[in-house]
Amino acid sequence: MMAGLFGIFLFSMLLTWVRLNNIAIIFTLLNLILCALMLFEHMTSILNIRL
Amino acid sequence: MNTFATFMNTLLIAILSGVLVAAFGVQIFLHEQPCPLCYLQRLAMTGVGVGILMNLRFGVKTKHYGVALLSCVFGGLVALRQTALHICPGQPTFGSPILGLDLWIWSFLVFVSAITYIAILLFFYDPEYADQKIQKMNAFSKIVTWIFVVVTVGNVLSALHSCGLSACLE
Repeated sequence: MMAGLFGIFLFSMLLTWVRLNNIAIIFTLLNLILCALMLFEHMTSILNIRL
Repeated sequence: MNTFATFMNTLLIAILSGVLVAAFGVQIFLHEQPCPLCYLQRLAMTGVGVGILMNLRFGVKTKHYGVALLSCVFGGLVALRQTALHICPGQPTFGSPILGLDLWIWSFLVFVSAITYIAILLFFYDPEYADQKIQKMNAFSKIVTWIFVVVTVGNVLSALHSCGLSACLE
């Protein structure tokens, strides 16, 4: 999962390289949202909260 | 894109790559496996680099700086979260401090510095150079970009080694 998040950033770099600027931005922002969800999951799991 | 903006953007990617390489150094030479929050901070630094990389490739645009700033804010939040976990006296710490400060404090300082750096760059933002044309990268930019890509690939391998395909929350 964590490796996948780094992989999506690599994919964004690839999109940047092949000149798909806006799609790269969308992928990067989506990846940041996924990262935020990971942080939220970490915060709730460490408090032993299950939604 | 003007040469000043190119140089400053490339310098930021070089600094971020250096920080990520230093994190690898701590991981490899001090044998300290990264925690999930450490990986999230590395991810945020990679996000900052991706935003700045777009500046180098497509010319300076405010939306590219927006991506970088959002990544900075996210990374700063993660660093603050990790600081909060260890802020009470007597709480067990994680890893060995570098120059008297824990790594997450350094990480927070990096994100705050990056926000300040980008804010200063925005003062020099000139819409005249914000065209859609593909930018021709100079040798310095190319070398730094490739170093950044290699560091990101290293992070993928490191995360695979540490966590496999799981969420890495233990």
